[in-house]
Parts: sequence; C-alpha cells; structure tokens
Amino acid sequence: MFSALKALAARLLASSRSRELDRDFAQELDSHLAMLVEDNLQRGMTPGQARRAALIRMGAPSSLMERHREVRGLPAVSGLLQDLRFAFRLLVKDRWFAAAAIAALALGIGANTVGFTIVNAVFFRGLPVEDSGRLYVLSWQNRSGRRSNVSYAELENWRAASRTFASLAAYSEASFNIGDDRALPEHVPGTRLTANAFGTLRQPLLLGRDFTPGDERPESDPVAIIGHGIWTRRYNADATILGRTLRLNGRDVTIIGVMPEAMRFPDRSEIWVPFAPTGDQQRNARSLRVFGRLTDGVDYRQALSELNGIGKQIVAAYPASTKDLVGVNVETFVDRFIGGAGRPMFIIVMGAVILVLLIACANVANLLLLRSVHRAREIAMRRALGATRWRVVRQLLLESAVLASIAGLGGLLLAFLGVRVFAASMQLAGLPYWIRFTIDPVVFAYVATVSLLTAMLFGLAPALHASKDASHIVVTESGRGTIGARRERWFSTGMVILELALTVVLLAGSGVMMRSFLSLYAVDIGVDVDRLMTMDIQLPASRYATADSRRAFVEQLEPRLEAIPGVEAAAVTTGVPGRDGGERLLEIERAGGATGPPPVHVSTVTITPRFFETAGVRLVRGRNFTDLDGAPGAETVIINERLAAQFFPGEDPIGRRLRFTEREPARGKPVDAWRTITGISGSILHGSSLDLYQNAVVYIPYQQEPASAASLLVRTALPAASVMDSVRRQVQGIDRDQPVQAIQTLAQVLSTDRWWYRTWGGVFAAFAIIALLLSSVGLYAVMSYAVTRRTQEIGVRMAIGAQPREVSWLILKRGLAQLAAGLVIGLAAALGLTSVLRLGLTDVGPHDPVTFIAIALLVTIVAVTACLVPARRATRVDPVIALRAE
Amino acid sequence: MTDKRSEILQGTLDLMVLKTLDAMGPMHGYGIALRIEQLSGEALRINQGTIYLCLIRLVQKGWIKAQWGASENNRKAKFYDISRAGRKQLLAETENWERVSGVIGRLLQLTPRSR
Repeated sequence: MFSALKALAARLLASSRSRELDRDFAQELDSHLAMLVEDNLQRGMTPGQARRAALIRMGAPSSLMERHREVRGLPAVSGLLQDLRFAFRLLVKDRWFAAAAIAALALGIGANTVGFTIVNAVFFRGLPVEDSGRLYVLSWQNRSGRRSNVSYAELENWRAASRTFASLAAYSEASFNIGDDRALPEHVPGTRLTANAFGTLRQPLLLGRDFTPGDERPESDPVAIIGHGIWTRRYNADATILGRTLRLNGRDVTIIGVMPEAMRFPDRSEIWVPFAPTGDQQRNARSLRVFGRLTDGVDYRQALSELNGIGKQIVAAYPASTKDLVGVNVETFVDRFIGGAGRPMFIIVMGAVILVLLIACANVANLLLLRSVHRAREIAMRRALGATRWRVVRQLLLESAVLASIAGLGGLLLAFLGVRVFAASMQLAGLPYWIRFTIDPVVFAYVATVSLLTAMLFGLAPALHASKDASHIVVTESGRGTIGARRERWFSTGMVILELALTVVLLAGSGVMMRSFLSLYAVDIGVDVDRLMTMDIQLPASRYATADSRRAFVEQLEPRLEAIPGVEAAAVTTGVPGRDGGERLLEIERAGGATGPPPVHVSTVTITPRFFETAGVRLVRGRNFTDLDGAPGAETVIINERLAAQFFPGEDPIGRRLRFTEREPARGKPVDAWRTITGISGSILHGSSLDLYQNAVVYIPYQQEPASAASLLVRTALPAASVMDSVRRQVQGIDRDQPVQAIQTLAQVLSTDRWWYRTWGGVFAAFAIIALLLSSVGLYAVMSYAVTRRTQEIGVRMAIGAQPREVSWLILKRGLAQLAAGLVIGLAAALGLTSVLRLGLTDVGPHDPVTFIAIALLVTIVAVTACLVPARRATRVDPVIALRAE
Repeated sequence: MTDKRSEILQGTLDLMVLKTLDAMGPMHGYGIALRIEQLSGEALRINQGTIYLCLIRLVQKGWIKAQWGASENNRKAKFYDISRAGRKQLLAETENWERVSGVIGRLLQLTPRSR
C-alpha cells in the first residue's frame, strides 16, 4: 500500500521533470550499449558487428525510451495534457464559435450563481459564528398555531431543567435614542439581552469586555456595548472609547465594549444593553426570544423531546398563565426567521436560474453539434486511424470542459457584479445581519460543479453523436447530405424547440411575477407623494413618560415647523400616507342597543388636526378635528370613505358612535369609550399595497392618544436636504437630545417600503431578458447554418428559376415550424407552472392573458427576426458562385 | 498484445532483480542483465533493455536505490542497490514464491486417476 503511494508520488514527480529524466535514461542506455559493444569486441567481433549485435541484444533505444516514459510517468495524464493542448488550439482556431458558446454559458452560469448565492445566503449559511449549526431558537407553540415568545420566569425554568442545552440566553429587540456631546442625537435599533447571550453565540468582541451576570442586576451601573457603526460614525473608531458615557434614552450608560463590523445580532441592532429582570416578573409577560447552544454530543431530537417534556411540566405547574400553550418549538435561526415567507420566492428564483442555464446549455449543445459536422472528417479520420470511440468522446468532452471552465470563470465575474447589484438593492430590505449576499467558498464549489455538469450536459450528446463510426464521411469529400446529417438535423431541431419552449416558460413565469410585483409597486396611495416629506420621531419613555409631556412637545413642534420658510403645512401622525398606523378591532354602536355585526379589524391612524390639510386630502363630509377633540368626554373619530361604505351603507355615519375592542378582553381593563364620528375623509392608502382590502381607516385625534413613536408629515416644495436641517433645528430647539430620523419624501419612503416588489420584479426581468437573448441567438445560429449548408441547393433552385420569395420561404418554413412547436409546448408548460406560482399575488391571476399573449408575441417577433436575417441572405445567393462552392 | 506475458514476467523479473542485488551488492544495469541471463540460460529470452523498465519500477516503489558511479573499467554507469524496504519485500516475495511453487509443485505431482 505504502509503496504504491510512493510509486504514485514518484510518477507524479517524474511527469514534472520529464526532460531531465529522459536525458538520464539515455545516458544509462548509452553506457549499457557501450559495455555490450566492448564485450562483443573482446569476443573478437568487428566494430560494426559488435554494435549491431549489441543493439539487437539490448533492444532499440527509441522504443525502450518510449516504454520507459510510460512506466515512469502517468500515461493517462500525459494523454490528457495532450488533449487539453489540442482543445485549446481548436478553441483559438474557432474563436467566434468559442466566444459565442462561452458568452452564452457565462450568462447562464452567472445568473445561476447569483441565484445560488442568494439561496445560500438566506438558507444555508446561518449565523456567522463558530459552530452555528448547534444554535437553536426556542419558542412556545400556542393553540392558534403561532409561535409565542417566552417570559423571564419561564426562561429560568427552562434553564434549570434543561440538560440538552449547554446555555440558554434571551433577547428582546428595542430601539433607543442615543446622544452625547459629540454628535447629533440618533435613534437606533438595539437589543436588550441576557448577560450570557454573546457567550452562547460565541461572538467575540472587537474591543472591551462582554456583559457579566453582575450587569443584569437592576442596581448595577448601566452599561452598553456599541456596534461598529456607532463606533465609527460617532467616535471615529476611537480605540480609547471604553469607559466613556453615552446618553441612552436620556440615561447615562458606560460603554464597555465594541462589536466587530457587520455584527448586528439579532437583526439590525447597533447597541446592546443587559436585560435586567425586575422582581415582579409576570409569568405571562412573554417578551423574550430565547436561544441556546446544544450541549456537546446532544442532537436536535433529544433537545426537542426534552424541551417539550419541560414545557409540559411548566404547563401543568402554572395552568393559569399557560392555557394557550401546546408545546415548544426548537428551530434554527434560519427556520425561525426565514421559514415560511421568503422560502417560495427563493425556490422560484432558483428554478428560474436553472431554466436560464438549461437554455444556455441547449444553445451551446446546438453550436457544438453544428461544429461537429464541420469536424466530421477530422473525427472520422481519427477513428479510421484506430482511435477508440471512448478516446474521441473523451477528446470532445474535454473540449466542452475547457469551454465550460472558461465560461465558469466568466460566469463568476458576472456573478460578482450581479451579486453586488442585488446586495445593493437589498440594503433597504432590513434583512437580518447574518444574511450577507457575498460569494463564499461554497459558492465557488457550486460554480465549479455547475460548470462541469453543464459541460457534460451540453457536451455529451454532440460528442456521442459525432463519435459514431462514420468512416464513410472521409470518403465523401465534404461529408454533406449523408445519413448522419439527417439525425443531426433532428437533434438540432429538437434543441431549438426545447430552447424556445424553456424560454416561453421562463418568460411567462417572470412575466406573471413581474406584472404583479410592478403593479403592487406602482399602487396609487391617494396623495401627492413628491411634495410630502416625512421623518420619524421617537419620544423616549424616560423623558416623556406622561401623555401630557408628549402632547406638550407636539403642540410646540407644529407651529415651529410651519414657521420654516417654504413649509406649507405640517402635522404629526402615527401613519403617514402609505404606512400603517396599527390595526384594531372595530365595534359599531347600533340603535336601540341591538348587537351589531361582529367586530372587524380596521386600520387606525392617530393624527393632529392639520393632517388632512398637509396631506392634501379633503373631508368628504362633516368637520375636521379641532384642538378640543379627543379630550375626555369629547372622544371623536374621522372615518374614511371606504369604511363608511363598508359599515354604513346607505346611512349617514356622522354622529354615529364606534369603539375598539379586543377578542379576549383582559380582566380589569376599562372598556373603550364610545367615540363619535365627526367627519368622513377621502381615501388615503395606509398599510402595504398587498392589504388593499383592509384599507378601512379610523383616524383618532393625537390629543386623545399621544403616541411616543410618531412621524412628522411636512408639505413643502423645497428639496429634502434643505428642509432637513431646519426641521432638526426646530426639534432640537425644544429638546436637545431628541433625534430625528433622516428626512425623506413620501415617494422615497414608498419605494423603500416596496423594495421587495421592485427588486424581484427586476430580478425576473433580468432573467427573462437573458433567456430571450440566448434563445434568439440559438435560433439565429441554427437558421444561419442551415442557409450555409444549403447554399448549393439554393443555387440550383435559383438557377432553374426559383423566386427569391420561394427561397426565403424554404428557409423560413423550418424556423416557423420550430417556433410553433416551441410556443405550444412552452405555453402549455407555462400554464401549468404559473398555477403553481400563486404566492398570494393579488391582482394578477396566474393565467393572466395579457402576459401570455404579450410573451407569445414577443417570442414570435424575436424568433422570426432571427430567421428572417438568414432567410434573406439565402435569396442573395449567387447561383454561379453557389454551384462552384464545391 | 504482450500484456499477459509481461505481467507474468514482471513479478518474476522483480524478484530476480531484488535477489541478485541482495546477493551481489550494488550493480549496474548491464551487470544485472548479464547475471540474470547467466542464471536463466535460454529460459528467459528478453531484451537486456527490458531490465531498465523493471529497475525504474523498483526505484519508484523505493525498494532499490540508484546512483551514478564508475564501472570496473572506469565507465560512467548507474549503480543500483537494494534498500531496507526492498529486503523486506524480497523476504515476503520469496516466501510467497515458495508457497505458491510448493502448491503448484504438489498439484502437478498428482497422478491421474485411472479410467
């Protein structure tokens, strides 16, 4: 065994220094021959005889050298190297063919790689920490099939009872206003977490120390770990930051650590503070997300069954607080946070890129096939000279592999670009930090595998076809019009039909996706989005604990904003047009105490009286809010037209009363007071464009419900940048530490909110264009080859009087037949496919006729153009030249 | 073509070369070839050059070592010597050979049953 390895190593080594070893062996043979000759001379032979006898006895040096090389080196490898060199030489010779094939494949592989990179990032990578496969998120499963967070008391129970988890940690996401004397105050997403959270993750810090259990105690000095973003943005990456204080929601905290770049656990956090459990934790105050790392040697199933056992014990011990719970979920971060929603989308993307690659393969297979006809003589010659079929197939496959490898490199380059564009467009998506769209070693391995597989896919059929024993071709001068050519034509026709059909499927799928995405993207929300600007403001509970303090802040703010030159109107609201302000169960008072319809969910938006004027929306009936509305005893609301139509058909809603309720009202909580409807507004879309049906809105006076998180809405024709500073100065004129989130026009807000539709619409559009390009080039190549091939025939036809129209029809006929077949097969498959792709796309049905007809037309136009060019060329064939061509 | 014959030859030739080197000490290719020809007489008729294919194989397996030196009449020649691994291999091969030839010998001594 060992000596065999040694021999292999020696052989490998030998192939790398063959020239030197050749010389060495030649010397050895020389000296052998010399000794033989000497002995022969001593036996009394003449020099001539002695030399001849010696050569006979030793064997011919050249043949010995040949066999010596074989034994010494790796014959298979050296044969392969030879083939490789040959393959490269051929590619350089047929550089146009090679360029076309490589371009097609590179597009296919590039698109495929982008798709895989996305899927890899979302589904396979997980958290970027050591051994992240052993991290699991734990949650309750409740009766309605949803996951529920965990209370601190329950976390302690789990910690005490679980053996399968080495440690259990918890976090809850929050957002904080941060301020100091160095830079403008900011509002950032942050996380409260148990002191062992980073230890459980095995997340190292860039600077400073991790939290310790002591930091969790309520009486300990408040500390925080800041993210790389804050560190560089506010502190210029100052290495002496540790120990400095930062105002967090108005309270001083000490910075004890800095996290490395891009670390934003669990989602987009920029700052972390210890979770400090208070003494009177209610068992059903479930605000924590719990995760843990498995004990070494324990597997997932053990953990799941143990946790469910513990869960049952808790349910049995505390029936009052757990009546809703039925079990415990143990899931990876990917399953917990990506799971359902994104998965179909990514699977569809993967499906689309595989289709693109298949089209590219069919394309290149066709090109190879056409070329193999040109090479028929060469191949037949090689077979005739004794090359085995396998040897010829190997040679041809190697050529394919070379093509695919170059295309793979090209595809990788394209993918780098594509991934960069995609990642940039996903910036706004608010995806968890651990989804990073970058090309990693797994992607490299994938590209390599895909390239080689495609080489097999597009290379095998033409190689097998070309290597058939076709020695008769050598005899006929040109190899045209033979029986082999007929089979080749069938194959090529099949490939074109396949390509067209796949293209139709891809276009139809992409078209349906694109149309629904773009229509969702372009929904009109009922206001002039270009002249409206908005910015978010979060009044921290530490300084604005009372409703009165928040009311006072807003009352001061509005006039200040409207005093800014260029600002026409300003209001405060919890739901700027296009965004949701929350959802509540609506109950309507019926005359005579009759029970009305069961409560229904509607959107609720809290506004100040200037809201409608600022938004530029008129009240259809009734009156607007005044500063008095919303005070105790004057509870009023304004409803929108849609709500009026839905709940008061044929009635006058003004003066009627409604209130909000809950499915399972908590005991002791006062019932909501009846609110009187004072007006009906024109419709503004609140909430996502997918929720059109829900867009029945109740507007509530800010006076009554002064929310701490609200948005400013400003009507102005000035550019955003110039307004921003004035707005910020006015806000901070009231409160020095109060940050304002970056100002945006409503148009920008909407495009951010709807990035999802735009991005996917764009992705599918790109795939569709690539597919169309590939298949039209494929069709063109085949048709144009057919013309070249039939030049002679066309020449004869024209010589005996065929009209140009007849000649071009001759060529066009076949192309149109292929087109028709491709369209029929493709449309049938596409109808099947798009029924599967429902995905809750609201307003575009899966069999959207407009999309289908448009695609059929598009493919027809492109394909006919691809056929027409060669067909026209056919009519310009000069009979005399054509007949001489042979 | 010659595959089958050379396969049989290969094993035997390897063994013969190893044994020769073990018995006689370092030798050059010509010397080994002569020695094997002397011993086998007419039984093994091969080109002397073939010995080098065997030698390179043995060198690659690490059973013999090669070194350039000077022959008895001061000609430059490559000398081969058996290595420790080679000795072990020789021992194993010899045992194997004896066992196999013993079995074959006994087998061939069987007298046919009278019919």
